[in-house]
Amino acid sequence: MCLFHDGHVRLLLRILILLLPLFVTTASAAGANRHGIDFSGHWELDYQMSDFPSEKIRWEYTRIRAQVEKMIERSDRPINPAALNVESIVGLGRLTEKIAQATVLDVEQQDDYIVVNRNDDFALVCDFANAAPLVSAVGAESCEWDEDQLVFNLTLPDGLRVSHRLSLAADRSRMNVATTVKVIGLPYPFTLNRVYQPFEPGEGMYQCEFTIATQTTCTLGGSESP
Amino acid sequence: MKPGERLLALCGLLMLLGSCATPEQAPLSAPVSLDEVQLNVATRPPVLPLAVSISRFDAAPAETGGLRSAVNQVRSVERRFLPYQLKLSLERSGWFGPVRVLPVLDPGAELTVRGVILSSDGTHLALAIQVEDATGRVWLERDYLDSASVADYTRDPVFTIDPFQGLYDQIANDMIRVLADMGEQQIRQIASIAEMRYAAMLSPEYFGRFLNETGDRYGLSGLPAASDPLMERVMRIRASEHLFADSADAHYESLYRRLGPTYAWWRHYSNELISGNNRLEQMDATRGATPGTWYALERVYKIYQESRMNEDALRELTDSFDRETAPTVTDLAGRVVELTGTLTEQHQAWRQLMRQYYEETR
Repeated sequence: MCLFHDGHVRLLLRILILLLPLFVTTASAAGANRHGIDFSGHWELDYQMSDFPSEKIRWEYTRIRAQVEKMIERSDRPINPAALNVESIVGLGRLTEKIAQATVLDVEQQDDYIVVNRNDDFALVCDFANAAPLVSAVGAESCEWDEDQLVFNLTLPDGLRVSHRLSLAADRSRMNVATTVKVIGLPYPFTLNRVYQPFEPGEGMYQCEFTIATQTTCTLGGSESP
Repeated sequence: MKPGERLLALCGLLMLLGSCATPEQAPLSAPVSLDEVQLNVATRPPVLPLAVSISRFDAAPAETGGLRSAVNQVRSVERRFLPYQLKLSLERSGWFGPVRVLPVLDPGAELTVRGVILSSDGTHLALAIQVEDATGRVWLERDYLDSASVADYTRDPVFTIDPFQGLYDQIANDMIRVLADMGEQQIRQIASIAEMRYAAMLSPEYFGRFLNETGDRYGLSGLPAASDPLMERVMRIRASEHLFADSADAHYESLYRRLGPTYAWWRHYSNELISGNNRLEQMDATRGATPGTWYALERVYKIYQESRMNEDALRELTDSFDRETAPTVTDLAGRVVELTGTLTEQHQAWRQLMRQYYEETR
């Protein structure tokens, strides 16, 4: 006897389809921070060291077009250039730019979890003790340590795949977030590197805190006021 | 579970689901809709109103525990929010005395309500409720299940009517049914035993002898004299306890008022997801996003982003609730005390103070 409604079946199948790649990618447990990497702190975008999206798109476009041309030249059979969809790199690049928009990161890390708060975006959250993907009908999310790098994988409908790979300089002077966007059916992923540098918030400025009772309250903090 | 086993389990589940893609079949146990439940409202105030203490609900452990689980964040709100919703139903019925929501069990309560959130996703709400009076008699011990439809949410866009109101009213009605069958003598005895249990908590060696305990049930083997100075002191402390309980209750009211709209939004949103009718896909179509276009993909990401940002907001609100509970300034039999920390910590400190005060003034 069937235990599920037809509607439930559709929803569950959709979730399972979203989950499938995560079952494969989370083969290694999320819990092993074997290198004792600590991302915690306040980080702001270092524009100079980060990829400049338009330039990266142009560079990728040129590179892939050259590859395609070479492939066509070498191929015995005729290849329709339109089928390789080189132009899609521009759309993919623009989408990646929107996904990697954060300019300020506020990272809270403990032994068993990390929360990467991003301005104007949702927080990337990883529970090291629990590698199970976080799944909803609108997408699935997982995280894993890849040696000294922490990777967040998002599996979204319509074949959209996003990964954020966090890596830290040995002297903690910079943190790189490599955001890669793939779309199933397109042969080229697009990666944007955003480099962040540490900063101390609130020095000689306002310190703001959100509370239920008072909403957002700001007070003067940091250096002494004149 | 090893990755291989996980994949195997997933394949098994897929096969099971595949076998279900047959003609529509009714679920084995259809959720009950309690939309038609009418709250039993007292026509006149009760002669001996029993005070009700609702302790913060427990929650069945979520399947995907840990920090990433939005369910856990929402449960954290619900454990505080849903008891308050029940309190409102009980108050509105007019059958009971003061109804308070407390962070822990109240040992001197006349009537105690415990609850466990079995499941809650905006579409279904299942609660296990146990109601027990001071004598140890269990009034109710059953699971309640209610379902909400999209219509429940759309008919009230500002979320002033709880889509599961029928469930709370049903619990209240079940409690009222037991109460209505009780005689005045029985109700009076519950109140007396509650007083004596409270007194025995402060001084078991003195007041314990007035109580007889058989298993889980309590009875009276006598009562102290009306002019007993120790009992007078206990009653003064108990009055202070009620004031403290009122301030704890005010914290829950604050949560209810401030978090209500956010929680209602989450529940509405969750309801849309769980109903699984491809609403999001339909939204794409109606908004002119052609599948396969960059605009459509951008919308896919934005919908995910929006749902996760709302989870973040809910988590921040939940965290700040416990963090910001302001110090409670209260009166302990004429002495002003200030308590800090979370509500649970404040409650523990309060109990410690009461015992100290009782010992000091013996």
